[in-house]
Parts: sequence; C-alpha cells; structure tokens
Amino acid sequence: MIKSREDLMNLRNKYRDDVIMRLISYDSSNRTEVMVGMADCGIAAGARDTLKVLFDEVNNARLEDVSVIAVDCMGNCDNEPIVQISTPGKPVIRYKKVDTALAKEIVAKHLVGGSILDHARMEV
Amino acid sequence: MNPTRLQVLICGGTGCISSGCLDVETAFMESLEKHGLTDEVFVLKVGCLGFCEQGPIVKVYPDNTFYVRVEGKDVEEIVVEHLLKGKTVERLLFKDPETGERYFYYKDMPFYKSQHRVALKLCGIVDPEQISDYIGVDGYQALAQSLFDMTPKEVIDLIKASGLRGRGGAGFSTGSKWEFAYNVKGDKKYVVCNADEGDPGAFMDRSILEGDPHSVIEAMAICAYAIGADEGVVYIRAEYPLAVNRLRVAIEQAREYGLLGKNIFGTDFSFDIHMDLGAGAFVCGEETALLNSVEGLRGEPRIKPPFPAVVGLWQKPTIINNVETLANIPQILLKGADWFQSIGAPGNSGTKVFALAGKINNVGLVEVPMGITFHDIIYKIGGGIRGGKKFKAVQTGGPSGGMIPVKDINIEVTFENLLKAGSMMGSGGMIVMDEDDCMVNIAKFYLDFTVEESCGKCTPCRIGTTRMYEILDRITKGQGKEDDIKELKSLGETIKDTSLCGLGKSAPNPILSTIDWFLDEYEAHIKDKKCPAGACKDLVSYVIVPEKCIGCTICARVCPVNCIHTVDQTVGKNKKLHVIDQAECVKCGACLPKCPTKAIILE
Ligand SMILES: Cc1cc2nc3c(=O)[nH]c(=O)nc-3n(C[C@H](O)[C@H](O)[C@H](O)COP(=O)(O)O)c2cc1C
Repeated sequence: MIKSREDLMNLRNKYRDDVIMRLISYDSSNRTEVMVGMADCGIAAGARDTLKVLFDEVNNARLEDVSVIAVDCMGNCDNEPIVQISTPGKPVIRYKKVDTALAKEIVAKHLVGGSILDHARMEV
Repeated sequence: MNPTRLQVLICGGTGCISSGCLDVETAFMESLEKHGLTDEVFVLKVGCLGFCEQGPIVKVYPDNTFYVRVEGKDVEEIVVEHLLKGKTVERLLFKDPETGERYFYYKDMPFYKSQHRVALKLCGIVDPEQISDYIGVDGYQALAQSLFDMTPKEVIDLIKASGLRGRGGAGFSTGSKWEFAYNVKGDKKYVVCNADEGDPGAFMDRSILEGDPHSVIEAMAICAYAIGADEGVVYIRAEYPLAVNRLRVAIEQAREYGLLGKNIFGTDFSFDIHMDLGAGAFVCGEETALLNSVEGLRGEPRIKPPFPAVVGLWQKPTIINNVETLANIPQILLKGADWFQSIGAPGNSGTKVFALAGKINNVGLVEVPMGITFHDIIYKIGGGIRGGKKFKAVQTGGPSGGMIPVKDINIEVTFENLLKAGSMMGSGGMIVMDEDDCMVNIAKFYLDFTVEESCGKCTPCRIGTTRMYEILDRITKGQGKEDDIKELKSLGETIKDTSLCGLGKSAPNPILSTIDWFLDEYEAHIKDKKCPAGACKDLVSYVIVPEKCIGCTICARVCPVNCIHTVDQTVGKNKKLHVIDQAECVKCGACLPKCPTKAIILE
C-alpha cells in the first residue's frame, strides 16, 4: 500500500531492475553494449562464467544504460573469451582472454571508471 | 525477482493471439525447461508491437532482435542457437519483400524508422498485467508530481501549453476542455474515458488498453485532480474482452497499491474508477449518447450546448476524453509541454496512432508524428501497395470521413489539412485503396454501416441515409439514373445540416467525398453501366476468349455453380471450347486465376 511519494519512489527503485532492460533495449541508441562471444569456442574457453560475472557486476553497479549481450563467434578463437565494448560516440574496444577476474576489473575500471585496460586489449 | 540475463517478449495483442502467439509462449516454456534456462530467461507477453502483418512477433532483449511470423516449431531453434549460443536465427528476421534485405534491429526496419511512439511507448515494454512493471518505468510519478508539486490550475495550464488535442476525432484542445470543467463550481464531477472505438477497422484504443492500461488510469486520476472530480468511468465495448480483462486487472492492482481509492499518497485527493461495458453501438462513442448509455438510457445524443464539461454525467460537470488522448498525459507531465510541442507540426503537436489497413503491404498499428505526409505513411512505413498495384486513394475518418485521392498524397496529416481535403482525422482508421476498389461500392459500404448504426432520433439521419443507400445500391446494380448524383448531393447536404450529432453530420461524407474526387466512376456506372474497377458484380461479366481457350476443363471444374459448358467448336489439341453461361454465373471469380492461358477476362 503506497501511502506517500517516498513509498512510490521506493517501489520504483525496487521494480526497476525487472523492466529497465526492456526500456533501454527499446531505445538502444544511447546504451553501451558489452558483447561476449558465445559460440562453441567461447563457451569452451569459459565464456559462460565470464558472461555471468559481467552481467551480475553490471547489475550490482546499477549501470542502467549498459547491456550485456551474448553474441556469435567474433573470429579470433585463440583469444576467447572475447569481450567487446561499444559505447555510442567512442571507439569500439575489445578485450581478450577475459576470465572472471578480468571481467570484474573491466566493469570496475572501464564501465564504471571510464578507463581502458591496456594490458588486456586486442585489435578490433 | 533477480533480473534475468535475457528476456523474451511475445506480442500478445489480439491480432497476434489470433495468429498463434499462445502456442509460441507454451513452446518457449517447454524448451527453456528442457534446457535448464528458466532462471536465465524471462518470458512475457506484452501489448501490441504494431507489425500485425508479420505476427506473431518475438523480441529478444537485450539483443534487441526482432523475429517475425514465429511458430511453435521455430522456438527450439531460437532457444538453442540464440539464447544459448548468441547466434541470431536469421531466417526468422524480417525480410524486406523488395530488397530481400534482412533486418537485425527493429529500429532499422522501414516500418519502424519513421514512427515515433508516445501514446504507445510502453506498449511492448511493460507487462500489462503487472503494475510493478509500470511503477518501475516511472509509472504514477506524473500523478505524484501533480498532487505534490502543482495546483490543479498549473496542471491544466501545462496541458494547454502542450497543445494536446483530442484524439477521439474532433481535435478539441484537451487543456481548454479541462478548464471548462475546472471553472464550474460543484461538489461532484466525473472523468470519463471513451473506449468505445466504433470505427470499422480501428484498433488503436484497444491496443493501448491491452498493452498499457495504467497510463490511461493514471491520466484519468490526473484529470480528476485537475478538475476536482472523484469518480471515473471507462466506457468500453464488451466486444473487447482482452482489453476489458486487462483493464479490470489494472484497476484492481491500482486499488491494492492505494493508487486509486481514498486519500491517494496520503493526501486528501480521492478517486476511483469503474468500468461500464457498452454493447458496441457506433453512436455510443458520441460523447452525449455515451453519457445516456452510462445512465441506463437509450444511446441517443443530447443537445449541445450545454457541453458535458458543464452538464454531463448525471447532470454533473464531466470530462470525456479518448483513450489515446489520455495515454499522452503522463508523459507530458513528466517531460513538459515543450517536449510535446517539439513533436509534430505547428498547432498539431504530438503524434497520432493509425490503424493501417487495406491494400497495403504492412498492415498494422503505427504511431507517427503529426504533419507526416500520407506518402510517407503509405510507402515508407506501409511498404507500398500490395501486389504492385496502383494506389487510388486512402480513406481516413472511417464512416465520418472521406477519401484522400492521389493528388493529395503529399499533404501533411493534420486536423486542418484533412478537413480541407474533404475528410477528417477521425479516430485513426486509415484504409488504403488500389485500382481494384470501386469508389461507389466503398461509399456504399460505409453508408451501409451508418444506416445500421443511426440511432434513429433524427429523421434526416434515420431516413435520409437509407434513401442515399438505396440510390447507391441502384447505381452499383446498373440501374442508376441521370439525376442520382444531384439527389445524393442534396440529400447529403440536408442530412449534414439537420442532424443533431456528429454521426448524422458526417455520415454523408464518404459519399460526397467520392463524388468530388471520383465523379467519372459514378458516371461510368450510371451512364455506361460499367464499373471501371470491376468490383460491382452486377456490372461485370466473366467471359472466355475463344482464341485463347485450350479446352483444358480446369475452369469448369472449379466453378461452384457448374455454369461453364462446352460448345461444339474444337480448340487446342482436339478439345472443346468452353463458354460461361451468363444467366447462371454468380460472378464469384473462382475461374479467373485458374485459367492456364489467361483466357478468362472481365468485361
Ligand atoms: C458518431 C460518433 C462516434 C464517436 N466515436 C468515438 C469513439 O469511439 N471514441 C472516441 O474517443 N470518440 C468518439 N467520438 C468523439 C466523441 O464524441 C468525443 O469528441 C471524444 O470522445 C472526446 O475526447 P477527446 O477530446 O479526447 O477526443 C465519436 C463522435 C461521433 C459523432
């Protein structure tokens, strides 16, 4: 039962997680897309765990305009799991051999902090 | 619920339900279970996504993939390839019939590119049966903002400044209308939502209520606060069971959450809504007939003035607004009048939802900025005329409107321009006609509808439309007389001048407008007893050209009334020539497309 404006605000924040993906995807022009190669090569290299960590960390950091998307093979199987980050208006960045630890670092430093991790970067 | 990595949205509008989306939903549930993905993937049915031609539609988020014409048997592939491995199932993407190009993102599709969704914004985003979804995307914030930050007068001024005009047909300024009711002193006032939607072929209001009912509820509450009402009624036709049901669920949930009822947000503002089901009479969409119907009287119009804003339901000041009008209100509150003014054309701010139908490739529900041209709607969004035929006219305003002929295809769609072109905006039906459509026959179709739907209160409307119908009927049967056009015009003008409500005042429009633009077609029927489009059955005959007939018997075999016989003349390889017995032919046309040598023609 909503008894005040604050109650509504609290519910909004609580329910937002369920719908925000739909709202952001609907108008996807302003979102950052974090893509994880999930073909057989990626999965064999552990991309499933990478994807899960990226997804959880992005949610924990409440990055509403970031979507984590599984995609097909990005064509450099030796370096899987590969993660590509596209932010509108910025160059596309790719990271190689992204294990769960690196995935956490990418969220904290690149997505939250805005700085590129040179040690894991690869050619696009 | 923890957010899931993937969400699968299935279009659950009435259109997609009839093309099988429920099977698709079941198939997803089974397949996800089988692959142990139920925790990772969330499946939900949302409101109409608009592209009804291509339904059932399935969207995958966050990838933003748009699958069309999905059937239950396609689901396993989507789950295994796409959901598990991130590989798009290309064969299910929309393919442009002309270029053959497949589209990964709906935003790139020509059908969506020129659209701008405001009233339909949350249709296809929220689960219409979960108020939590609506609250999560800032639902009811506009109501809170009105109650806490604004006086009723400020709300009205904001709506006035936005330039919002009624989407139910007449295009009257919504803010000004609210102000009339605000200015009337009184302890009891009402807010009524008009969800009668009687135009044949129109389904925008239904889609809004099916896809996003809370926007309408919230808007009614805002209106109630602005004018000082405490009771609301949604007048909706019983023929819309899904919309009725979703609205009922939404109203109940809003009550549970305290967003309807006494002392909303702990303030002294109280407001509740109930539904009133109409039996589906066109005239009951007219606001005063609607009020009579709600009061349990016959659905007949009242004399105006007084206008309902002053003397309305149970003689109390009442604001009646259309569903689509209301659906714009919460966003105007949150984003401001300037934002709304920035969309559309001068004096016609915002968007309009149209139900695109007829001889067009992309049948569906489209929302476009006001001021877009018919050309863009028909060719860019609608994908052009079906089967490469020639465009003839587009009908707007339903039984109250008229034809926009080829010469006016580049006019900008605004309330004023449509009136100038001899039609009107109406509620948003848009039916595209091609060279095979006979304008006299179409006029007869609309008049048949108004004859049925006239409530009978005014003699000119009741009897006049019947007389007009009889004349049109004669003309389409080849019994037209020299004076018929003059007679139609004079009857039409009289009915318009002497009827009480908009039904009679506009019923002759489809006829007068077709006479204006397609006089030659009327004359061909009357003088030459010919239907140039070949649509009026009494004026055409199917004949077999002897030189082309090869005597294959295919036509005789498909003829349902066995009126194709052989005669004693050899054709082809020692076969007999076929002829159609004109006295027995019912002109069904079944033989025409079957003839392998195209020997059957229309005369
Ligand atoms: C014959 C007739 C049928 C109508 N049907 C509808 C209808 O189905 N829905 C609707 O909203 N308005 C309909 N109207 C217009 C209403 O009378 C009224 O103008 C409208 O509901 C006001 O809401 P708005 O200002 O938000 O457009 C109809 C009018 C006439 C004359």
